[in-house]
Order: sequence, then C-alpha cells, then structure tokens
Amino acid sequence: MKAWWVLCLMLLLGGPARAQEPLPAAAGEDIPLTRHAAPGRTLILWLPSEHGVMPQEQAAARRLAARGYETWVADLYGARFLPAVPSSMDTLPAEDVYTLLAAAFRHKPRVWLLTAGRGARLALEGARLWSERHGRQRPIAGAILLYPNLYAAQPEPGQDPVYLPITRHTRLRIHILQGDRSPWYWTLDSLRGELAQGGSRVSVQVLPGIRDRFHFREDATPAERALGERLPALIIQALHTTS
Amino acid sequence: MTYRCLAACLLLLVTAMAGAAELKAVTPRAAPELVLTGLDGKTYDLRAFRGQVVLVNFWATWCPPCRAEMPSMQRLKTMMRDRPFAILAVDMAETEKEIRDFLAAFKDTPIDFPILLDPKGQAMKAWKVHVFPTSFVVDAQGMIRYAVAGGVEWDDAEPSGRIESLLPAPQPGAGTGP
Repeated sequence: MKAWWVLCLMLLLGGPARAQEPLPAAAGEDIPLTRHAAPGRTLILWLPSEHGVMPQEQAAARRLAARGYETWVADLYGARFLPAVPSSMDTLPAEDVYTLLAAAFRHKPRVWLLTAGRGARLALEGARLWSERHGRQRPIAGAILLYPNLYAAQPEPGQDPVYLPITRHTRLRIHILQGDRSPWYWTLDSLRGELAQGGSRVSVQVLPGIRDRFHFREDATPAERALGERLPALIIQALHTTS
Repeated sequence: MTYRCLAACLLLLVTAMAGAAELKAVTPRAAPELVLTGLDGKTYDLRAFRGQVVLVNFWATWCPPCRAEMPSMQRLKTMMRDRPFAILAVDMAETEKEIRDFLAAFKDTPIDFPILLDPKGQAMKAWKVHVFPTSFVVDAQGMIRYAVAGGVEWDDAEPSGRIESLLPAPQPGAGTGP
C-alpha cells in the first residue's frame, strides 16, 4: 500500500526519480549509471549491447520505473572510455557486471539482467561470477535477452554455429525475445539447446514480423516502431513469464 | 579544392569497398538438397541444374544488403546470358505478396531469375545460413565452390570472374539445362 502511494506521488510530480551517478568499479574507474528509481522489490539492471546505451533504452527504462520497476542503465563503455562498437563489447569485463549486481542487491532483493544482442555475453558472464560468489544466498531472478548473439564468432556459411563457452556454463532463468525477421530466429533451437546444457531454464517469445534492433533502428517499420513503444510492457510481461 | 574532392572520392570508394562482402573459396563439398516451389508456381530442384554453375542466394525483402545486391545479380545474369549459369534466389518465409511488392520496385532492372519460397526455413537450415544475404556458388558438378555472408556487387570483376572460371567449356551439342 505504501509503495502504491509513493508511485502515485512520483507520477504526480512528473515521473520517477532519475539520478545519474557513477558507481565505483573494482578497477578504479567509475561506471556511469542512470538510476530510474521506483518503489517495489524488483530492480532491472540494463546492460548495453554492442550499439551502446541507446536513448530509446533510457526512455524505456524511465517508463519501466514509472510502472514500478526500478531500472538502472549502465554505460559500461563509458567506464572504460571505449567506443560502443562490437570489438569493444567483447573486451568489457564481467567484473563490472558483478560490481553492478552487488550494488543492485544492496538496493533491492529481486534483480534481473536485461540486455540485447552481444550484451548477452556480458550478462551471462557477469551472472556466472555472481553465482559463483553469492549464488546460493542471493540468486539473480533471471535474464531477459533481446535477440541474443552468443556466437563465438560469426559462423561461416554452410558451417554449424559455435557458441561462446559461457552459453553452456550458465544456470539461470532466461527469457529470449526474438523477432522472426532475423536469421537468428532460425537458430533459436540450437541456442536453447546450448543454454539448457548448463541448466538454464529458457523461455522464448517470438515477435512476428519484427527485425533485430527494432526498438532503435532508423529504418524501423511501423510495426517495429509500435513494438518499440511497447518494449516496457514486453519486458514486464517477460518478468512475469519467467518468475 | 581538388584535394578535397579527391579525398571525398577516396572516402566514398573505401566506404563502398568496406560495404561489400568477399566471395570466398571453400573446400568443395556437395551442395545440400534444394527442392522448392518458385514464385511462378514451378518446382525447382537444384539437381536439374547439373551442368550449370548456379548462384544460390538466400535473402529476404526486409534485409537492406539483400535489396542492395539484387540489381547486380540481375546484371550478372544478363552478362552470363547464353552461358551455362543460373541464379536461384531463396526467399525466407515471406508471403508472395510481400515478395511481389518488393520485386515491383525494381523498375530499372526487372528481376527475372527464379525466386524460390522457403516458408518453413527448411532450406535455410539445411544450407546452414546464419546471415542475410548468404550466397553459395555451386559448380556444374553440384559442388559448393564459393560462399559469402553479406552483400556482393555480383557484376564486379572479382565475383563475376570467379563464377566465370567455373563455367564448363562449351561442348558441341550440349544443352544448358532447364
């Protein structure tokens, strides 16, 4: 009841509180972090994809908070002074995710990871570090992966895909959101199989007529733009599906 | 001013080159089965093209590099007319209307090679396609000789030369298949 009043008050005052403050990382650098505060027990930790932190993702995070789900958006590229490109993505250390998780768990009891594309590697490796150190006491609620890319390298035409080792060394609840207008849609079965080998429980929601990066692509179709607008609702639905 | 123009041209050239994927030679291996219905209602079987070099292209209307390379495929086909060469373009699980609307936009270079329909992605899985577009060049014996993931300017000297090098020497009285 108290949380409801806080939410109403926040809405009256023009939306949820938003704070931009760095979080000290283990290696000494600060992780730029935008905290979209909300009451409730849940915290969503939004990790960047290979495209960086997109304004559309910040907007979705703001709307998640307005609906009562505190959401932190971490700019892990900024922490390392790296450009947001795929080659930088694979150098981002999972230790930074661990640091973020530790801060998140100090704040809320239920913590989810959320990311897109190649950010899946970072999320799973961070989750594994957390699980090794604190998994039994404070397990991560799950991970929501938008069109995850967990290939070890871009598969050659005619060859089977090879996945990153973390794919089969993860034990987590995972919900995948995948558009069917993507080549990755056709390899969902093999990805599910790889994830299941580590003990992950995987659920998949197929998004019909949708391409990857739908929520921020410049050439988005009307259907993709509409779904991009509904992204917070999709994420909330995923939280409930996976819980 | 001249230097600026030169620099701009060079930048454009580098950008264009960076955008095109490279057709790579692969260890020859037998092409998987490919039997699909075309947009024209006919059944196409890759085995019936034995004796011809076949460019098998996997694409979708929503994929920008697929759209970009399609006119160059048509120009390649025109370049190779009267030669034992064919193109089979496999569309990934789209409706006939979507494909027809898409093809109608190519007014300057009308597409007249067969468009095959793969509604359940069976061919895509069998050929292990992970990126759109992906293309394979199958030689006259039914072996995959080249492959590429990404868009190609097919009528450029390098890819067209590679395809040409696979064309069987003309034999008196030999047909060119379907």
